[in-house]
Amino acid sequence: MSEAILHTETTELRAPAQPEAVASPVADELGPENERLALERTWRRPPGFLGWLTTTDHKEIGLRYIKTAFGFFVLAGILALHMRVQLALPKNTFLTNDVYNQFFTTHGTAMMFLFAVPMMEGMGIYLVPLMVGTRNVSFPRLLNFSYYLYLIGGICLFTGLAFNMGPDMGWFAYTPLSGPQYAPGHRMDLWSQMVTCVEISGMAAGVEIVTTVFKQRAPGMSLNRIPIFVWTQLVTSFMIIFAMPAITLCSTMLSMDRLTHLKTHFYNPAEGGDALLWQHLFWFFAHPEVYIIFIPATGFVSDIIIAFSRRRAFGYTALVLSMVATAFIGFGVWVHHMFATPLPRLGQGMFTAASLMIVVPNGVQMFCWLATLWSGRRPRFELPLVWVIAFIVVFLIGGLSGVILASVSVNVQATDTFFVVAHLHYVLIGGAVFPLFGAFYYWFPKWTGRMLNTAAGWWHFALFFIGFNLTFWPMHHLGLRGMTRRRYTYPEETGWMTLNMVATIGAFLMAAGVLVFIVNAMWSRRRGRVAGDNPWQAGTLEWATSSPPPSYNFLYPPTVRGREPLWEPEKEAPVIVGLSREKRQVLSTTVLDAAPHHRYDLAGESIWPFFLAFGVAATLMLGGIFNPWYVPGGIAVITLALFGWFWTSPALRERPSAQPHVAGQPRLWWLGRRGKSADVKSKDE
Amino acid sequence: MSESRASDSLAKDVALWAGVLGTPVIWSVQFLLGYALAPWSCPGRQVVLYGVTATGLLFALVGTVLSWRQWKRAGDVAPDDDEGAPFGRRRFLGALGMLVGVMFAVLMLAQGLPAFFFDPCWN
Repeated sequence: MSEAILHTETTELRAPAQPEAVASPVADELGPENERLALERTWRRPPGFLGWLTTTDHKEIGLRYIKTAFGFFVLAGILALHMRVQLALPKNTFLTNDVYNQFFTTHGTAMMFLFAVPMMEGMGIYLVPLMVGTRNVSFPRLLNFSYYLYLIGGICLFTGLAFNMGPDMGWFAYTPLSGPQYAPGHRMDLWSQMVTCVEISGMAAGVEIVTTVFKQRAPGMSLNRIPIFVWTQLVTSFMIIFAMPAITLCSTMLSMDRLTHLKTHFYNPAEGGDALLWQHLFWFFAHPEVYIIFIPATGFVSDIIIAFSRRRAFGYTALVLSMVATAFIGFGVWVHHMFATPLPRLGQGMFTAASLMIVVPNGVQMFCWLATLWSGRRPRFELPLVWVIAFIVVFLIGGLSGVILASVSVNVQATDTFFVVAHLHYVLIGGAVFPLFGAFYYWFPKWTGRMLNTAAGWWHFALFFIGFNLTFWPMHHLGLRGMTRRRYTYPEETGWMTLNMVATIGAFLMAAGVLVFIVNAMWSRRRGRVAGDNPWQAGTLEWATSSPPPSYNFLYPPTVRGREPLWEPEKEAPVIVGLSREKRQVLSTTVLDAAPHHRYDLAGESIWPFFLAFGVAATLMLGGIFNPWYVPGGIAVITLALFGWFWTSPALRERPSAQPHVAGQPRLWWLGRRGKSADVKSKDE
Repeated sequence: MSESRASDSLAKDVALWAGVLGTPVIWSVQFLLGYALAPWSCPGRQVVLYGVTATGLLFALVGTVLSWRQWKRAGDVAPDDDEGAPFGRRRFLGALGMLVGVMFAVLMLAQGLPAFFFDPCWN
């Protein structure tokens, strides 16, 4: 590093860039083009299949998450179509009872564990580092590990289904029905090990996002300037870290109950266990999981509304309040899934209170969105915004049926009817899938550099919106008329046929909409209109780089002076220079104020995370399904993989030189002239 | 902007998080205590539940007031004001803490109410 670089103390960073302070930065010697080439050499992944397998680029892995999760969404949707065909007519024989049981369980399991949560994580993994202005997540190898573990878990579930070993006890697998007495065979074993795999992967991704948001934000991005979407990812990741241990614990206990070698009795009341313990542990995870799915979706909604009404968020603090409050209260409502069990009424009353109160922060958030739309410039009704507005309508309906179900007296009547099915699809599809499609239209240009086709997009929206309401609205009525969920058929005298037929037609309309979207995405990624860097003129940092972003994200990592950095009046914001071009180096900043702290070398590609993922999955599958004696052997493999992982990590090898602290004060090199990295790029080209 | 306002002491850091994280933690303790004590309070010991609720509310009040003081001390700083950036963040956390504190106080009140109406012996 040249001596001529300007040294600036941390405390002075807040001062506006002084023109004379830019005299001789390194970048001028090298020139942006050479800088770019050097960075490209350092950050691109190694060539060939091995490079593809071991990549640690958050954008590549994020997109893999998104594509894989979408694949599971389609598979689980196909199962749902089978179920709808079966239910369209009374006494239908399209599916047998056993196959139907496997299908609805796999549908629910795949949608919750393999689609919704990993999809939201994938969006976060792709977008969070770009939005906070850094070059990669803080533990890139962990990312590689978590993706493969998730993939293996998902493949196991569907492989099981293909070999008539699909789980058949419902996605919440209540004991004792899922215990050794009533569920012989390996169906539930496979389910519980799959869940453990996917949740360990989820926790890894959660840790990844928390550390990236806390320690790698662009200088100046203090807590009060974090983009709303990044807030949602941060809050969600904390929820993941607190909720997922409950499910890994209870599914492991279930395996131990089921394994013939162990035969524990955690859930067996006959031997002093407690069947309700499963429900407590499971819902302590699974209710927060609903918010783990929903809160990132609110982040999409906020960012899209801000971009399209072209004003800053109305009530930024209130929006953050709403997600923090929802995240906490989400852990205090789990018993409302258990109102039909003989728990003390007074305790249930407390959970009714919490379930009703969680509506308040969500209502606050709704009003913030409406106020942002209302008070901004005349909104451009393009596809992302249209999906978001549809979300507001549909989610409101789901929220209202949720308020109804929060009451113990109503809940006891409606438990396990199609009313609940209607409610949960309105909140989950309405609350997560509608914003998600909006997000696809919004960020597709960032991923591919091209816009999705608008005409096809409107068809997609119309088919999906109409189909969705046709499918799930009648289910409210079916539930009130007494149709219980999870029944594979019904006699004609019930009079349920018409509404079921309508629902089936709606399901096929939805499927047609999704098909249109898939074709549109395939076509547009190569032949769509070229998008440019910032097609929506949005204000957050992911739009400050090219579309798709280069492997190093930003030629000069940006600094930030407001909530919507690209809308700031001054064009000349300082950027960061002085990070190594030869090593994958990022700037670590402080938690509260994002003041620069030190430079941090990231780990490069390695095959060990891949091995570790296989080791963990094999240990769980073999040990948890067949014989616990596989576990010690698996632990040996895991230990080996961990040694390989850490011995090849730069943090261990190069610690002394990686953090050049000068007399306790970290120093940084600053360049005040380049303007935004986007400007630099456009000048070069 | 005086130097004393900028310096971060441990006490101030604690106060900073009192509302944002402290009140929800108090809520979870109050909630779990209440839920666990509900069956135990069966023959006419509801007064314990009232006590738990009241204590929780008291703590929420403390958290809210501490946040309010943070908010007030930070002064009126816009989020885009670069000169006063640390104060903008402090102001934000103070405001957030006040909102969270009030939210969770109302929640504790709502969850305390059933004890006044339901007989804890009712299963």
